[in-house]
Amino acid sequence: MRKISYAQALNEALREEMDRDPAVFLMGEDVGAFGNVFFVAKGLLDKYGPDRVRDTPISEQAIVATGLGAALAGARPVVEIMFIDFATMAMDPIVNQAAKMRYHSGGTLKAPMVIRTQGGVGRGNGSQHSQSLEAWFMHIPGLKVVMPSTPYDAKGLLKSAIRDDDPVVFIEHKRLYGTWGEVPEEEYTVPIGEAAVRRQGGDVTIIAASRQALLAEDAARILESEGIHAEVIDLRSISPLDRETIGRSVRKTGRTVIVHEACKTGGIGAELTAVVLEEAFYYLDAPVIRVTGEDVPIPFNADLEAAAIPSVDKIVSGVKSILQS
Amino acid sequence: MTASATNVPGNVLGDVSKETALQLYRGMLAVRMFEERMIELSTQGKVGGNLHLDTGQEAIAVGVCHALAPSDLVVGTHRSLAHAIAKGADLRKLAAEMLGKATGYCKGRGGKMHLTCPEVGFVTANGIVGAGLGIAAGVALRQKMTGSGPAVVSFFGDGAVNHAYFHETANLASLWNLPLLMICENNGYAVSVRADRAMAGPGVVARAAAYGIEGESVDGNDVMQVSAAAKRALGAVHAGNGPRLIECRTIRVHGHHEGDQQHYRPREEIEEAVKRDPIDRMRGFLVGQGWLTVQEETALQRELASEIDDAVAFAEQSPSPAVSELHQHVYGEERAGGSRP
Ligand SMILES: Cc1ncc(C[n+]2csc(CCOP(=O)(O)OP(=O)(O)O)c2C)c(N)n1
Repeated sequence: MRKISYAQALNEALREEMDRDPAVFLMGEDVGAFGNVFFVAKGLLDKYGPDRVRDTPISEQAIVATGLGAALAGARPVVEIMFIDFATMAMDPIVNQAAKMRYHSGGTLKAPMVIRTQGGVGRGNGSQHSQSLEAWFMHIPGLKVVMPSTPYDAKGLLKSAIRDDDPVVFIEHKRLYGTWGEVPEEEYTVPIGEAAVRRQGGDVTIIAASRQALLAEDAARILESEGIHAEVIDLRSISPLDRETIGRSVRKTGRTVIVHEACKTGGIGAELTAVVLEEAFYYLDAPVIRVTGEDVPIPFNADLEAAAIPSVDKIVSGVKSILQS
Repeated sequence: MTASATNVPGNVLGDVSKETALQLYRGMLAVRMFEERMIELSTQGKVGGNLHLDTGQEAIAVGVCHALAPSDLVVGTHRSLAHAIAKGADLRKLAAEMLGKATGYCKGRGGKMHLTCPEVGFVTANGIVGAGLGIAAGVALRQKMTGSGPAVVSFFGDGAVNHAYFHETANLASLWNLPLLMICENNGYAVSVRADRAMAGPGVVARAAAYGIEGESVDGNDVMQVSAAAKRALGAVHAGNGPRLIECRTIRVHGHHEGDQQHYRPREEIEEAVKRDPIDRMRGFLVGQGWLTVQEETALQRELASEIDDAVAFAEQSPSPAVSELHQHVYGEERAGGSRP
C-alpha cells in the first residue's frame, strides 16, 4: 500500500470532504496561502478559493464562535486553533457555547463543527507552544475529543469528525506531521470512539493516545525481546472513551500502565485509572502505574524538555516495575 | 392617515400608520405583561434562576423585530425574553420553558438564558455576555456564503461592548462584509457598574466606526424611532453593504435582575426612567391621535392577559422532563459511523 505523511493524510481528508460536501469550509490563522503552519491545508486555497478557505485575523474567540454560528446555520466548518495553547483564548466558544448548544436547546440545535488544533511537546518550542491540554476538553460533556497517532487514523478520523453532528476537538501532534504510514487510496473512515489494539499481549496493558501510543508500541517491541508481552491500546479518541476495550484488556492482563504526555496531575491518566478500577478492579494484580509528563511547564532547554515527558525508556521501566509488584 | 411629526414625542418618523402604531404598542404591552407574570411566578418559586427583565426597554426589541422580515434571524442575550416574544415566539412554549417543563422550547434544559425558538428564527439567547455577537457573526457568515438573504440581528448590552467578543466580531464582520445588524441596548448599567465608569472613549457608535461599521444612536424608548432606524440599517444590510450598528439609548428601570435592590443607584434616576416609559409614551401618542380609546385599551389588555393565562396554564399543566432522559441531547443520537476499506 502507498505511504503518505500524517500531514498529507489530513490534507487528503480535508480535500475529500470539501469535494463531497459544499457545506464544509476551513477557517483559521494562516490556513490560506500559507497552507497552515504544518502544511495541512496546502493547496486548498487554490482549489477551493478564499470563500471556503478563510484566513482569519488573530482572533481565536471569534474564529471558534463564528464557526459555531455557521454550524448552527447549516455549515460544516473546520476551524483551526494554530496551537492548542491558544485554545485558552477560545474557551468560551468551545466550552460554554459549542459543547452546550445541543443540550440546552433540548436537541433543537446542533453544532457540527471540527476544531482542529495541535498539541504536544515540539522541538524547543517552550512552555507556551508545547502543552497537552486534552484533559480540559475530555472533561466537558458535549465535546468529542480525537487524538490520532497514525496517518491512517488521522485521515479516517478527520473524515468522521467532519461528518459528525457534534463539535469535535481534533488534536494532532506537532511531532507526527512528518511521520509516514500506509493509507489506502480508496474511501474509508475510522469511527470515533473505538480504540485500536495495536499489539496483543497477556502480561500488561499499556494505554496511550497520539504520539505516546507509538512510543508505547516501541516499548512493547523492546519488552517482547525480553519475553514480556505487552498489549498496547491506542485510544484514538478520549471522548467518547472506549471503556470496553480497556476493560477487556485489563481483565486479561491484570496490570495497567497508562502513558500520556500531559503533566500528571489532573491528566487523562487519572480518569483512565478510574475507568480501569471501575471495569477491572477484581482482576488487578498490581496498582495502576502512570508514566506521564512531569508537573512543570515545558522548558526550552532540550535536555530538560526531554526529561519533562515520557520516553520509550520510561515506559519500559514503568512496565518492568509493575511486573515486579 | 399619517401622524404629523409634531405630534410624536421625539419621533423623527412623521409617517407611521395607525395599524403599525397599534402593532408596536401591542408588541410592547405583550412583553411587559408576560414579564410581569413571570415575576409573580418567580415569587411563587415556579421560575428558577435569576430573572433579567426588559422593563422599560421593550421598545428596542419590539421596534427592531418589527422591522425584520420573518426570515431574518435574531441572536439574543441573557436579557432576551423581549427579543423572543417580539420575534413571535409561542407564549405557551415560552412559559413552559420558563417553568422548566418538557413542553418548553428547550424541553426544560435551557431556561430563559439559553432559549432557542427555531420556528420564529430566534437562534439562541446566551448566558455569556458578548458571546451572542460571535455566534451571530457566524450565522451571518453562513448566510453570506450561501447567498440566502436573511440578515442576522445581534442584541447586546453596553457591557458587552467592552468585551473581546465585540471587538473581534466587529472586525471580522466588517472585513467580511457580513449581513449583521448589531443592536446595542445601552441601558447605562452592567449589573451595578455605570457605563461611564466602564467604557473609555467616545462611545459605542464611534467604536463601530473604528471598524468601518456605520452606526447611529437613537432614543431607545421611542419604538417608532427604533423601528425606523432598524429599517434603514436593514436596507443597507440586505443590500449587501455589510454590518450596521444601532445604539439604542435607554434606562434600566428594574434591578439587574428581579430582587436586586439597586442600593448603588440614585432614586431619581429610576424615577426618571419610569417617566420615560416607552409604553406610556406610545399610549399617549395613540390616544393623542385618536387611534386608541379607553375601551380599546381595556379590551387589548384583556386579550393579552387571557393569552398569557392560557400560556401559563399550559405550562403549569405540562409535565417536567423525565429524569430518566437526563442524558438525552448531550450528543446526537447517531454516532459517527465508520467503514473500513
Ligand atoms: C462573560 C461574562 N461575564 C460576566 C457575566 C455576569 N453578567 C451577567 S449580565 C452582566 C451585565 C451585562 O451588562 P450589559 O451587557 O450592559 O447588559 P444588561 O444586563 O445591562 O442588559 C454581567 C456582568 C456574564 N454573564 N458573562
